[in-house]
Amino acid sequence: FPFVRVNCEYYFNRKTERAAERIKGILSGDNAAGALGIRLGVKRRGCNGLSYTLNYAFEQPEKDVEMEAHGIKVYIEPMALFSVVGTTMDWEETELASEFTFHNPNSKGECGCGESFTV
Amino acid sequence: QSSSRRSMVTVTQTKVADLPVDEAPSNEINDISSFVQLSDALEVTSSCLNRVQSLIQQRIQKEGEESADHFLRVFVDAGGCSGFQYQFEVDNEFDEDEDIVVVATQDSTPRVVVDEVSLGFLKGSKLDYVQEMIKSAFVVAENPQSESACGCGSSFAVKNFEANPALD
Repeated sequence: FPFVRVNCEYYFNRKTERAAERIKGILSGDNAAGALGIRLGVKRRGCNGLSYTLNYAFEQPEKDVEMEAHGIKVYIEPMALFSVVGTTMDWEETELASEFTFHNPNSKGECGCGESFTV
Repeated sequence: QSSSRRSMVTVTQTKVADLPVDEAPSNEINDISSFVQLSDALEVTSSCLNRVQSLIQQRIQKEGEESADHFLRVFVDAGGCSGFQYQFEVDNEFDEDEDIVVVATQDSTPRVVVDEVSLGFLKGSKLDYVQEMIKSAFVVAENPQSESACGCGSSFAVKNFEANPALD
C-alpha cells in the first residue's frame, strides 16, 4: 500500500489556489467544526458512470490517502483512487453557478453537463 | 475526447443553510420582499430570487446603473444526454412578443423571464438556486413535463414528446 501512497502524493490533485481558498472557507464554517479536512470520493451515478463527491472528514479516515495542498488536508477514498489519480481540482465561479471542477487526465468521456465521467 | 474538459459534481447534502453566510458569496440577504410574482406557471424560490438580486447588484456595481434592467432568463434548448437542456443567462433584451415575465420588481422591471416556448416545457416546475458544498447553481426542479433526467438534472426528456403543445 505505501507504494500507492507515494504515487498518489506525487500525482495527486495539484489543487489550485482558488479551490484551496474555497475549501478553507468551507472548513472554517460552523458546520465544519472539528473537521480535519475534506474527503474526495467517487460515486456510481449519472449517465457516464461516475461522479465526484465531496464531504467533510471529521475523523482520520483509516484507509484514505491523505494529501496536503496549500495548507489544507484532502483525503481520497480508497475506492476513488484509481479514478482520480492525476486530477486537478479547481473552483470556478460564474454568475450562474459556482462549482468545483475536476480536470481528470484519465477521463475518457463525460456527460453533456460535465457531471459524470468514465475512466 | 479532450481530457481537460471540466467535469463537476454534486451529491453532497450540504445545503445552503448549512454553509456559513460569509463564505458563500451569493448568500447575502437582499431585499426581495418587493418582488412580485406575475405568472404562476413557475414556482420561484426565495433562494433563487436572492441570487438574481445579488447578480444584478454585482452588475450595477461593475457596469453602472444601466445594468439595473438585467434579468435572469431561463430557457430550454435541445441538447444534453436526455434530449433537452435547461439553460440560464443574465440578459437585458426583453422580447415583447415572446417573453413572459415570471417575477418583476414593484416598478415592473423584469427579474425572471421565460420565453413562451420554453415555458411550455417548464410549466409547473420549481426554479431554485441550490447551494451545496461542491456546487452552487440555478436549477429547474420537479418538472412535471420531464420523463427522465440526467444525473445532474440539467438535461431531461419530455413526457409524451409528440403531443407536447410547446413543439410546433
